[in-house]
Amino acid sequence: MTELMIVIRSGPWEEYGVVEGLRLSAAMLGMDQPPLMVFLDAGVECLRPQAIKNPAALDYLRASSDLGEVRVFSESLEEREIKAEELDHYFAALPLNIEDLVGLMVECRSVVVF
Amino acid sequence: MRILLVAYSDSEATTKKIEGLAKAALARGHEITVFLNGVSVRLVESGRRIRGFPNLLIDGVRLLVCRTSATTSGIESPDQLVGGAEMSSLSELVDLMEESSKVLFLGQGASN
Repeated sequence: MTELMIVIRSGPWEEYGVVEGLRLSAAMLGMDQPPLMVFLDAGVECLRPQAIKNPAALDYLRASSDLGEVRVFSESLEEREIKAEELDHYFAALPLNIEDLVGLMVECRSVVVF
Repeated sequence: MRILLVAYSDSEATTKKIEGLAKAALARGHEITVFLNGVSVRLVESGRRIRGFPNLLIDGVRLLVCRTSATTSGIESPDQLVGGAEMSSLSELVDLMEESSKVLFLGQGASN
């Protein structure tokens, strides 16, 4: 079971929240405990190509998608009229709906929102 | 029960939440560790008068500070922290999360 779900609600312009969330993800990856990353609300904007300007944060996000799982909330994409194809393919973000999100939250030991 | 509080903000509201939760949990006999990350590390910068935090240390709360966040905030050495606070790392945070019965994250940007 994934121990931790890291939810990114901050947009790429709110760098503090995004960087701290991705830094925590990197630490968990380094300890062989890959978290489940979920992007929702303005956070989905982080998955657009070139959205994240901070090089360290971009590396953390790439590592999260390489070694863990990145999910994106479908409703947030719809609200923002973003198509899944418009997201950076590198991150391989899998869409999830509200039922999926709740189910995964129940499975995780902790959920942290940035 | 071992309870881990992880802070991400140096706001007064976050300080009060940490203080209140820690005191309540201590009163019930739980073991409390507070991990300060991001800008919350400023809460234990020596010389900064933060109501409540010194008392938590006296009461037996373990107070840990992310070294990377401290450096980013201009805190280069443990001497710049209030007595009793310890320098730590995110890898120690991950270990603590595994060891703790409950983990509460407080004060991170979008959740408040």
